[in-house]
Amino acid sequence: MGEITDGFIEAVTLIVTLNPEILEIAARSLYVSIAATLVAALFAIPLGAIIYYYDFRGKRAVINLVQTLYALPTVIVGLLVYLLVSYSGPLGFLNLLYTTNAMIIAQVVLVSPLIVGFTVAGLSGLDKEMKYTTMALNARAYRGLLTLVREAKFAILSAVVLAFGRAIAEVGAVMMVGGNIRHFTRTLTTAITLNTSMGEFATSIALGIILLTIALIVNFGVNILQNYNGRVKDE
Amino acid sequence: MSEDIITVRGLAKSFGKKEVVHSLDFSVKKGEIMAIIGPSGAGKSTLMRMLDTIEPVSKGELIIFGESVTKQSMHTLRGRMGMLFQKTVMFDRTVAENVELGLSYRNISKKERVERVSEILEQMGLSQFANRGGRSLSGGEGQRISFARVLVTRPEILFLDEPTANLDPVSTQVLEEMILHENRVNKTTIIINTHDQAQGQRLADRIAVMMDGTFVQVGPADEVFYHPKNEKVGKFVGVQNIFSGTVRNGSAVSGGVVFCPAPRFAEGGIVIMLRAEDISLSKTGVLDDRMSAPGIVVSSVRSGAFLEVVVNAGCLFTVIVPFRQTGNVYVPGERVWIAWRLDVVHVIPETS
Repeated sequence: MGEITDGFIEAVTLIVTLNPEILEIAARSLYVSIAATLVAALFAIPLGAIIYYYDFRGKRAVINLVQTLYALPTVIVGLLVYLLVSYSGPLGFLNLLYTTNAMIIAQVVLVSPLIVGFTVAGLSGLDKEMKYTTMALNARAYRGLLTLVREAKFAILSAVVLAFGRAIAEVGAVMMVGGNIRHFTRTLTTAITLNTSMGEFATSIALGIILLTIALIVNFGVNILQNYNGRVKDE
Repeated sequence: MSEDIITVRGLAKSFGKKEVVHSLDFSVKKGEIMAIIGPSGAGKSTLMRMLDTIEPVSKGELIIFGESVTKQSMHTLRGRMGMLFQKTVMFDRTVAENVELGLSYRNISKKERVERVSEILEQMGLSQFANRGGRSLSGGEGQRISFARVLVTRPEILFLDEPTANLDPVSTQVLEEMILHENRVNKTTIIINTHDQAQGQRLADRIAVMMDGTFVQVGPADEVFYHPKNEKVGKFVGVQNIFSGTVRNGSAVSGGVVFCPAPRFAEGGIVIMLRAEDISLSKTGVLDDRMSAPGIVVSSVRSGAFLEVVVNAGCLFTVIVPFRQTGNVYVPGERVWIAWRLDVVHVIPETS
């Protein structure tokens, strides 16, 4: 019990004194996950929009597959990306292994299905007459989709925020492709894993508090967005 | 009025294995208002979307403005048409921005867009809504704005898919006036779907009755309303007295009541139709009309300005008479006479 209380007190001290190493790790975590989320959003939202817009053979199966990938185990993603970027892998020449870029790639793979799936769901939540209206007003597909994505913006944004939450909280993939190298690829989650196994509970708790705070902010953000979404629909 | 603006040949639509529109052939003349009436689920909306080229056609050919609809021609053709839906669609932006949408999809300059939007809102008496949020409007207002959003693109053909189904009677009347105005002033060809047969009669030059994915009867409103092709159409267009009967001694007879001479029919089964408003009702028995029968009042129900009286005169007749405050009361059990003119009776062979 004493260990936990002491650890907690020391943790608070580490945070309020702005311990440089803790800040560096937190900043790296934010950088990797924000970058991964943005990159994923950049192609996953258009991809989701296209899946929603067009009717094609096997559409249902594609959506099912995407939804299954929500639960993609992080270590599997880690393994996949590891094989891809390791020195003998197809992208080995880029020397990505054990860099933050490799970690970003892994998180992009991890969260893209989430954004694709929730974009499809968000757009499907609109009245079908809305799509018909854009078509009847003679919008080219991309113009119509822009209008529709704008209508579903809160649903899609909350998917992006959720994706960020999954990215920043995962440990398996970044550990495998990043290697948890101090000052290079150490993130909140990998640092907590390491410090806990070394018995450095104070640092772990400090990092944990930061991670939890980020998670709370994310959750708060999702709630606001979904409330907004609900309000817009009710009007 | 003579040029065909839409020609449809063998048009069909299937969703999966289920065919919802079966091989239709018809044409629509330029400047005409055609109403497609029919019960919900008859395939009317699907047909409309196919005509507006926003729903892919499963089978058959569609010729619009003299040009066959193909993947290549579709976009250009669609740009000359417009469609309004039953469910009001308002995007989460201002009314003016909503109305502007079709113009900005056509890459028309901002200056012209603003001019045309304010012009159309002005014409339709909707200027006061311009800066309101699209989502803050009532149902009737929203549907009028949606109509403005279509009209601002100056369509030559308008598809209206149950445009007033969700509106109150006053808003319905306002929108119907706007529809007629558009047809008369701009000579816009209009095709309107409605499950409200009276609306079809109010608006249309020609009516197509659609049931189970096919056109059962197409013709001028009076023909459809007074000479329904079969019992189902009769019921749908509001014929309340439909009896199966026989031809006996050259007359149409049912339940012992002689309706009219039926010289063109062979002896055998027939269906007799008689609209409730074409029957007169009297307590004295003196009526000018050619055919009459005594009967007993079964029930009398007031419906707005009318009384709906059911009379047993061998068959159960429904009669509609104006309700008067001074009391034209019909009590069940009362003896009355009903009468009708020979030419209002519509007789068809039983098999059709």
